[in-house]
Amino acid sequence: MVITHHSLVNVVELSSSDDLEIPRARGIHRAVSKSRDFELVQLLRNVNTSSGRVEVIVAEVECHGVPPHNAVGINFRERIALVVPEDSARLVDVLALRKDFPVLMHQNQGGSGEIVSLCLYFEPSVSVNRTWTPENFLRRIQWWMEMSSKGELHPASQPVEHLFFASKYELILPWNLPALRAEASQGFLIERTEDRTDGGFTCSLLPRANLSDRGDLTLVELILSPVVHGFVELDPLNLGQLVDLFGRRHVDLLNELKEVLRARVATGQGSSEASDHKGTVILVRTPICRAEGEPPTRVAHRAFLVPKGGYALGEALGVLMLHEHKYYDSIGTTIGVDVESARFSAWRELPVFALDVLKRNDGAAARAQSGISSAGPDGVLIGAGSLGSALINMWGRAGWGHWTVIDKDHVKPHNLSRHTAFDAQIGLPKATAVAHLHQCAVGGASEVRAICADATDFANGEVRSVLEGASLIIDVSTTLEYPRAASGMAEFARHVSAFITPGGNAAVLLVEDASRSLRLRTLESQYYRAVIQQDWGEGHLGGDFGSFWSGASCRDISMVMPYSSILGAASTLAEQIPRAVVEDGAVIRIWQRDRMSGAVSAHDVPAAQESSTVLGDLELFIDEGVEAQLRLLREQAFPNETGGVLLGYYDFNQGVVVVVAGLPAPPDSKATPSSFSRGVEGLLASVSEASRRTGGVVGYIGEWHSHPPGHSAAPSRDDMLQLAHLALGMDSDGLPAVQLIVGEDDVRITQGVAR
Amino acid sequence: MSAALGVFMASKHQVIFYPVGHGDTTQIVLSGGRRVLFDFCHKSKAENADTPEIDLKKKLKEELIAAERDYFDVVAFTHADLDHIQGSTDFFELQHAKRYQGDGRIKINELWVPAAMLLEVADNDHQMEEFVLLRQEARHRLLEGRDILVFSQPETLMDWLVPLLEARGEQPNARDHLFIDAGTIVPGFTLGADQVEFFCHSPFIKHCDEGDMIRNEASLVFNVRFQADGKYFDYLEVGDATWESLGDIVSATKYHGNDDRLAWDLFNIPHHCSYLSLSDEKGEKETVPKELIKELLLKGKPDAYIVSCSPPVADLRDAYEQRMPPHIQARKAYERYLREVGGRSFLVTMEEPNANRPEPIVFEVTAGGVCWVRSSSVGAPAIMTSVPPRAGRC
Repeated sequence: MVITHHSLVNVVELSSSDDLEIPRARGIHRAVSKSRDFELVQLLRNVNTSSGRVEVIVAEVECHGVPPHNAVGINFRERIALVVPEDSARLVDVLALRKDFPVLMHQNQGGSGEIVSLCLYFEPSVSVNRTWTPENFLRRIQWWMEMSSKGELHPASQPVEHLFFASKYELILPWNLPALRAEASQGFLIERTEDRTDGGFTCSLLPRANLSDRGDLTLVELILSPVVHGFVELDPLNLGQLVDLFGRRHVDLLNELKEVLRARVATGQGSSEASDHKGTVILVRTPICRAEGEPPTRVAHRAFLVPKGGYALGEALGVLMLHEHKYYDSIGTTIGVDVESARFSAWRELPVFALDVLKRNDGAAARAQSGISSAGPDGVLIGAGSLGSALINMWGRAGWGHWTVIDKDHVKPHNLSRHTAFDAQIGLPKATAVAHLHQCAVGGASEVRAICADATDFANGEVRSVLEGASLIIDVSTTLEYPRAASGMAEFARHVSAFITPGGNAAVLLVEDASRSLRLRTLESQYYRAVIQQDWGEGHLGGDFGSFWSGASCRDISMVMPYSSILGAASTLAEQIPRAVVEDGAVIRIWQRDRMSGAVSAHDVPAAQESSTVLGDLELFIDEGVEAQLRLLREQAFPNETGGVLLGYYDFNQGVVVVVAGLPAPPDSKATPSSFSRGVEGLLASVSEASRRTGGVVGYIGEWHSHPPGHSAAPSRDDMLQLAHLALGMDSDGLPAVQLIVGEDDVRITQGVAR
Repeated sequence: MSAALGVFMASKHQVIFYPVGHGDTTQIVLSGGRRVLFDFCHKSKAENADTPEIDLKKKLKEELIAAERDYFDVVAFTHADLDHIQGSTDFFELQHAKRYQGDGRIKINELWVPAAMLLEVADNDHQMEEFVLLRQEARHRLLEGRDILVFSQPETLMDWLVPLLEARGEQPNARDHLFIDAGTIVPGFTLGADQVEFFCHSPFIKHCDEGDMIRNEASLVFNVRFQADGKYFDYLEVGDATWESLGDIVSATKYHGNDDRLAWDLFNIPHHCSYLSLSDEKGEKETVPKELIKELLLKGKPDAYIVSCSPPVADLRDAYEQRMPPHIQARKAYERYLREVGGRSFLVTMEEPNANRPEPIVFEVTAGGVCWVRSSSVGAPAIMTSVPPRAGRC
């Protein structure tokens, strides 16, 4: 097997390394000389130094990591040219000189004629130069050879043809191109941005709304026959090379171009010169299949820009002619034109610029970039306030979930300091505002449906049908009303409730279990118990009673909380909610932030099962966590009875009373094996503290006591007398009294109402 | 099973050459995890960090711990010269006596030895020499009838064995299955199950029965054939062998039509790069190999490697006068033929990555072929893994 090499042109050979003048070239020469894996072949210098001096070190490199039988076709020993420009800001170019060196990805394409240039680095040259040494450069070449030979050079998941493109020009495809192709009866056009400072610009392929829309550039679309995956070609530098490249694939690009360009000019009356575009985009669609004969699995797009409008290009190709500032079809009108004449082959030299072809994100792409594997729920977001707008922004951009937003408020000027809405949206319903913003962010790849209504108005047919149809409902309404109301609706889907405490230093997440045996109502009360009993509950709600969950917080112009606090908590919730809902269990989790250091601690509260009992007009709810605590107190007091105050809250909107916790017996209580008389010492302070910690929600609802070992919870005569006493007392507040008795195996709850 | 589930694990075998100075130790680690060690040469001075030789015991123990093992599947002693067995009797567990057991000793699940090793003779002054202990061990295992394979079956050995078998009430042929003849595949490994097979080239039985027993001539020589995802690669593993016995191997192998067993992707050359394995004449600048040896050298495949288990073989004027191997003239000859077949490199165990602090030479055998995995100890990592010269004011 004879190996032949390319030889470089326009260079002279240097007789000695002393003739090297570029410091980097001297450094590389020294590194090559001392490396056992590199062998110097030749030193060269460019002849024409008008665009800067270039010195070239030609060497052979041996790479032991290249498998002898690699499918790629890289040899153990390869000859390379290290092309060192005088300008130290530019990278040293590495050319593979073997004539049959494989064409691979990770090669800089174009610019060097036929010789393949290795793309060694994935960073811009300024980053490479920061740590570049001749020695690590040589090792990088070997690394490139070895990784390429094993087919392991995959630094990023994005398509390599994009990664290495240096084009200033971009073509952006719609996210739903195949669907648009099926729909768009008027075809497509190209719109472009203004030139950027470096002369580059971005153009977009858009469906044409009507025939009079002409776009900013001429569009020529070509479809090739399918090719097998892995096909890579060098980029052409001029139209002649482009036509040749397609010719090798049995596509007559020239004729196709001519036909398209001819068809564009108005028959008979001609098209005005002034109406010509400034350039033509040739968009090539290539179906890609995995193996020969298999159906295509995707379509690759490549695009080329010719800096001539479609009419002028048609003239250059000899199919159009310009006459009195109008273009006409030249076929049949010009007699005796020699198409092979110099004038008609000049088109070959027309420059062609490759366009970087990018696609707008769809949901799947957004999720992939966000590291989210699940498409998310068919969800409803209750509340488009500060937190809700932040969440829908993050989830919308990440492609997680398909959302309906319900909110009855509209955007007010003071909202803008803590909301994603913009000034121009003042006065719009918040739900509509966030739906618009979503549209702006994702360009129609998904939609947010806006419902401007009170989410608790279950009589509203639209609200109700949306809530019944959803697979997940997330409440960020900052009111107690919705989560408590929804807890009574068995036909709704699983609920999540999240809020930020008024001080902005904590985020709270309540997640129902998948079967909804633990609803927001009980999760809320168990959260209160933790706030009352855990150390972190001390400053959790910041003692800010008035605004907590009153629904007034963000409507209050005087409220002070930086948007950064909202976003910090929103970011935590935006990541944690998707994580929580893939599990079936219920979650009560609190993230508390230390304002000074910014440190965040997470607190998990185990969720206990709830049960209910009907007390007159009210339904009483209690969870097993309360019972377990009371049983423990009972046993600790043996052989005596014990007891204390029962904490909880009423909600007459929902017709419920919820038990949160029982306090232990005050120290001055009197207990015997057959009686308990609750004392008063410190009691008022304890109840006040529970109320303070919960923003005034939790308060006194009655008394509890235990019965001794071996006895049931059946109320005694004394118990009945106590209940009557409590009922009379509570009547002053217009409330009933609750009495809870813990027996050996049972719990008895009774209500006393004064009539 | 895994293939049925669509999970495909590519095969990757390793062949490791340890820098033990003037001596041999190589190991094959199969893709499936089985480990075969050829020879063992641990010099106690190697335990000193200042010497270039590797602390073999420490290194092998580290590797076994990482692999969660306290044994080798096979340990093969190609012959009983000190540079192939040194230190082995206090590293391995010997079954023949309690005092060589336990205490962190490494077990040998199967011992491979040439028959000559069981016939070693020693006077009373040398009864504790390692070759005697290994002889005792091999005799013990053979007599017990397990954990050993003996290569070739000379009459002299049977003269010793048969009466002992009869005394145990066993048939004279009761151990025949433990003897392996040249020209056959060693049982216990198959290309299907283990992706490897060992074809035995040597020893020939005649070496022992024709007069004086010469250890080097009776050493083990194998063609180790690896399979990696349907591709086959050949490793020629030679202990010490003279040009005469290598020539015998070439002609015998050809005579039996097994020419493919002479081809090599990797060649562990005999006797620490001695010219005597090429010819009886050293040559002034370069040894000219005998015709049959030349034939063997030309059996190298493209991209093949040669490894010399030896101290550095420098191309210096004095080296050409050196009596003991390695011989620079031999290296020149090997390199000439390696170039001719389009091979890659001639490597020396005590030269890689440098002569001051050599590291094991590791080859990976995959479907892509046999590749030398270069040491990453270059630049800063090399400094960090070695002790720099002392610094300080005085």
